[in-house]
Amino acid sequence: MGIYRLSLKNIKRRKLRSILTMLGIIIGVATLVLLIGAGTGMKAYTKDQIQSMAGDIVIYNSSGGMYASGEYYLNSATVSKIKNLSQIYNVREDTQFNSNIKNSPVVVVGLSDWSQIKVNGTTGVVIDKAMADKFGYKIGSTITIKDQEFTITGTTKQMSMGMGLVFLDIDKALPLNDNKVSSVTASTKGDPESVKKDVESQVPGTMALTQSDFTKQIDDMMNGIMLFIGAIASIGLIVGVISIVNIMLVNVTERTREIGVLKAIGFTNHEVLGSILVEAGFLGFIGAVIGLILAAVLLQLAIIFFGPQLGMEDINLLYMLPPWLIVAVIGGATLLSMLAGLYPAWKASRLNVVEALRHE
Amino acid sequence: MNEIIVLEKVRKEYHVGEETVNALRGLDLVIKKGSFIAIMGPSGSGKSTLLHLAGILDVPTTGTVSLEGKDIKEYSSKEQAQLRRHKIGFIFQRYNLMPQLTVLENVLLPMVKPDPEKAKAILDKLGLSDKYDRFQGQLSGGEQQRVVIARALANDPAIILADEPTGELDTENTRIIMNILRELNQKEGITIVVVTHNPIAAEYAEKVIKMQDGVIIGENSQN
Ligand SMILES: Nc1ncnc2c1ncn2[C@@H]1O[C@H](COP(=O)(O)OP(=O)(O)OP(=O)(O)O)[C@@H](O)[C@H]1O
Ligand SMILES: [Mg+2]
Repeated sequence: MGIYRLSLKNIKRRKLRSILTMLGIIIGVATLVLLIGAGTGMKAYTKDQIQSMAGDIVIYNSSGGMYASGEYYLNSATVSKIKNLSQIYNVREDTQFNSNIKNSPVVVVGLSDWSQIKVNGTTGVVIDKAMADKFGYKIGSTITIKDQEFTITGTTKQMSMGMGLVFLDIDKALPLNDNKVSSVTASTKGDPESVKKDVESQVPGTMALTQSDFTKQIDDMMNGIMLFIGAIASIGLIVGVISIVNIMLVNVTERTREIGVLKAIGFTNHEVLGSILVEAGFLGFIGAVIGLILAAVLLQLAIIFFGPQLGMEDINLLYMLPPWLIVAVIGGATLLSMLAGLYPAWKASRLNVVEALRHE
Repeated sequence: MNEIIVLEKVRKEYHVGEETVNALRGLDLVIKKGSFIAIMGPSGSGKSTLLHLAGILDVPTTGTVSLEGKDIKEYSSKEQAQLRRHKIGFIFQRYNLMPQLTVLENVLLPMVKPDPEKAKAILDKLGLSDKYDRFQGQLSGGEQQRVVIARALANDPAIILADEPTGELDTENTRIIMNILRELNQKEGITIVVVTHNPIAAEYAEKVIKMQDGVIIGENSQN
């Protein structure tokens, strides 16, 4: 029966007070983990997707780029030049353009590689499920894009913001878009970085991105976002830590007499100090564990409800809660709470035994 | 060596604002090993102060307090705590037990190597064999004080210092507690010092010391 077991008992002793104190930590940790977890999950998942991308390199029109205005497409002359390059093979074209179905705007995507899309049915002509439901389309129904009729072969849960989505085989889509290509994906012989330079210098008007370019873009973007949300969520944690300082001071004052008895029966100042630190640490630790569990449950629910809409049905909780995050959050909250306990603990250890014993 | 604690020319002053309170004014006392002493005297005469000094809970303003021949000022505060833990058992008037711990856990608390069998044996000896798992609030005053005695015995102390251990008890329980202390003194040779207002409690001691205004004004041996 060491003095440190007292610490845990002391937490149980005033359950409501302990829980209210932990609430700050719980909310802080849950918010932090939720936001960082979501960010980390997105990042890891997107990176995985990029790595599973069939090509090493993606080539765009340099003046347009991926999202910018201006000339967005690669014309057929440029495409054939690209195809003639010896450093690349397994060349595939993709195209994307806006159109209408029954006066409702849609994005038409021409694909040569369907592996990125989860299709219910077969590939060929795939529309998003929301649009299918809206117009009562089923597999076998006919849709008209730019005066051409197509028979639907499948549906997907993937969605585009505010617009319908139609996926077509590339050879059906290209003629609809005057044979203009949005991007060319290819595998490279040798280092993708040097091939990237070759492509850009040998085919004027092109810009190539490698997998690491994509990963870097995502990293830059997500790190910025996560730093920002992390800072906001930390405020919650700090409030929690401050409430630990407060409550431990109250506890120590309330237990003056007990601390006097502990010292009288021979516990050293160090042991008294340690027991208060351990108690504060426990508050943080338990709060962090509860907060983490709460965040994990919420993240899992988010995966179940929003995963399919974002086309991330196979995303896993492990993407969002990597071990480093769990260790950092629990360790961090425990350590911060012990720091919060430092002043109350120091006060307790400095109590004069005789005065503490006279305290009623 | 025959004496366990010796106080020589001990003065203890407290300062309250401008005012100086002389709680002890040059007190000499020798506590022999194996003795059983009662200290009596009016309120404010310095009894508790004396007991705190004898128990190394405090140091004198001037004069020396020595434990087994060594001046306690030569020990660091950590060593003083360790001496309290291993050599001294304390009993106070009330609020002594840890309310969050059971009876058994309270006795195990000070043990360096927690030994539940030993703790139970001590509790059994004090007639508490059916109260191991009770909490302070579930015990009578007399039972609480017996648990405190059990805790004081946890590390086989050489001396037990008690400050009005029966202050809140009726005569029957006062006798039970004092009988236990007498047995510990006679059978196990533990030195006992009891501060008390109660003549019935004082009857159990071999020697009664009378205090007034911070000095000893007389002592008489009995039985
Ligand atoms: N911390 C303190 N600060 C100031 N004065 C104190 C302090 N502790 C004790 N005193 C004073 O010292 C004197 C002796 O106190 P002490 O507690 O030793 O008396 P006592 O004999 O135990 O009295 P009682 O029988 O009422 O317990 C008293 O006048 C008391 O007011
Ligand atoms: Mg007193």
